[in-house]
Amino acid sequence: VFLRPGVVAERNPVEILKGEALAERIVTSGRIAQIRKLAEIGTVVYVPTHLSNLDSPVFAYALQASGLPPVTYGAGKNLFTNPVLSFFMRNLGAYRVDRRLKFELYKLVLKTYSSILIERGFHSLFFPGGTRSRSGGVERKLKLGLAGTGLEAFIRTGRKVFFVPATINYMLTLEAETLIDDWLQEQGKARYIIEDDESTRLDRMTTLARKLVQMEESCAVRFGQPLDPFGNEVDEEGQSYDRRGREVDPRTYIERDGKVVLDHARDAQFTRELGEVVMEHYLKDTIAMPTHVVATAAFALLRKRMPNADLFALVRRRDESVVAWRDMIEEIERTQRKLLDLEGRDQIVVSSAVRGANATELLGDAERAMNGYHSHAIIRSREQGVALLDPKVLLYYQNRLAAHGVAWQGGRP
Amino acid sequence: MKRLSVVGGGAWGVALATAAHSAGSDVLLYSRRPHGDLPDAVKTTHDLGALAAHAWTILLAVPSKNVRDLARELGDHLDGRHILVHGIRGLVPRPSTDPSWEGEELATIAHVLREETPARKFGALGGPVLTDELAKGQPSVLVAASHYPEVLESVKSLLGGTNVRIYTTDDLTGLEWASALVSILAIAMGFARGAGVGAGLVSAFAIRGVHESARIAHAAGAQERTFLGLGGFGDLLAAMSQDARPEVRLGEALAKGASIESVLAELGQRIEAVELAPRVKEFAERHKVAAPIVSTIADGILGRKSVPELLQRLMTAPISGYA
Repeated sequence: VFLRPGVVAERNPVEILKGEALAERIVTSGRIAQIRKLAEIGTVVYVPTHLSNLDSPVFAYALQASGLPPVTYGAGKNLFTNPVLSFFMRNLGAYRVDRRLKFELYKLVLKTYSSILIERGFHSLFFPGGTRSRSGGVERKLKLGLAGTGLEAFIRTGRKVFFVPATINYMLTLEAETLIDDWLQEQGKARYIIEDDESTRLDRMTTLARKLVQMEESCAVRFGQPLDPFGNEVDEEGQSYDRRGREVDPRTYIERDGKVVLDHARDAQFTRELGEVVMEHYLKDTIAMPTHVVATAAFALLRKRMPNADLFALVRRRDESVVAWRDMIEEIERTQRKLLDLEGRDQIVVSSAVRGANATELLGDAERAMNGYHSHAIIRSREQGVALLDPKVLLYYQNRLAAHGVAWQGGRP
Repeated sequence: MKRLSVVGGGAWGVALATAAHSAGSDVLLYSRRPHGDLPDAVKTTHDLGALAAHAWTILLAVPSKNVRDLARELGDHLDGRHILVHGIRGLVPRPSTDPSWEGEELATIAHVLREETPARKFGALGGPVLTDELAKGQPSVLVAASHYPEVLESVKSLLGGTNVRIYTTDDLTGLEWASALVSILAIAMGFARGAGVGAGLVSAFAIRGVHESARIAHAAGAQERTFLGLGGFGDLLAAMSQDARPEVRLGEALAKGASIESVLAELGQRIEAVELAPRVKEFAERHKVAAPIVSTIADGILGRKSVPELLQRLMTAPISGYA
């Protein structure tokens, strides 16, 4: 059911999200106090992971809830015509970006605009993954084009610029089904911009909001270690440190013969290297949730059953797989142990729902979450075992833990 | 005046310092011992602080096993303005940072410099240059690699001259892997010579070895074409025709029945490729790259298998890649 404009007027989307108390359900964690201080010293540029069109409103609420100043950001033009989301785009400080325009002048104007915003102290938000992660996985390739203007602003004015990697984590992703379909269809090829997906459908959004509100910690934003434009960690005072803990003056990177200079080739490389550090932080700050854990376990069992099958053979299977309940529980426990071990090494964050529950409870949580929201049942416990009803959606959720080596990396999500 | 600092009192460091001096650079060499063969104008120091203060560009010519400690110490004296260029033909094992893999990874020298210093502008030197020829001022060709154009400009300005020609590439990882893998292939070239293998077959192994190395390094992020140029095949050709290259001498002696230990004792030096070969073999296996030649070097030649057995193994390995 697609929305007619009139429907939107009748039901204010803010009420849907706020009225359903979703905003209050967003859990925030990480370096909040530090970022609050840094926002007074310089400009903060947030570079979070990107899964859903809900990300920007969710992130905006997370900032507000954490007592952090608001941000400006460029959002795809299509979001401004999206009947549900356009409200947020118009009211949360977003400016329009048309990703289909490829000519240089347009890009230059956008970059200059962004650079001047940062120079003037407007905290900014960029999704360096470029588009929403189709696979559900944590980004492994970043395009820091626009975010690179943070470095330019620093060079031009000397104003301190702090990049903050962040993760936006969902127990359920609004557009999971469309995104994973798109990923499977277009594996590795140039992406097209999806115009109609779950985020244009009010019914799906309200169902999701209702689901998320019913669950603890179902949507979590984590603010990571702030970095200078060269990938050095910064402390609360904005001082940069190298990987061995030595103080570094960021201005030295851009000086040549005693003068600060702009050098596009050099600066593009600095920004590429910043992207690599940002991705390391994405992994550390990923929050593993019950749906990710159960999907990881389910997919592992599916693969055990079809050891020689490739990605497509696994997700295309039509018949229903039922795995023994005991096997499922053991696999969930194994996944849970791996995650806790990784968390001990500061490589991931395990949500309290995963840490505090036993495998049976986790399975129940994931079942309730996925089956109520997605268009059909994904996984269901029955008398004869656990039925895996939609390998595609399971793949989507397990992909969140693939780059960590916990879930299957088959399609290199 | 153009200024350059060099770390490494071995033959390679001295050759680079000498070449830079000939190119008109004011050179300071960090070394623990005096050098009779240095031009008078090249001063030496024991103080890394003085070395870092002397020039913004620092060349590193030390064994790869020393590079981490050296970089950590040197890092105390560096800032974002410094350019670090190394001429080290090796890769450094280190614990995996990939949470899904608990073994060892192979890190490039530039990677180690990134971890241990506040600097960012890194570069590498490689190519068919021979230490003796460079030291004597004979015409030489080097390859310099960096992601930063200003690093390449600096290397050209400090080292380049009428007798030193410098080609450049932005494939830093490619040049670093090529230099390291060519030193492994050089063992096989020496072995083939010692075993009396015909010229046609030697040529085939050389080319197939370069292709195989390119495929392996591609898995580490290198560009394959770097291997087909001066830094890969060019370097191997130079090694093949040079008796002095220790890897070639090791291979030749092994073919004649000597033990690794005795050859190393006779050469009086460590050969990094001996320890690197099994690690590269493991890397190739992990990344599912067919590597019959490197594997044969790692466990066949260095594992002292007989010549006929090795030849049979290579001649019957599955054929992969372009001809």
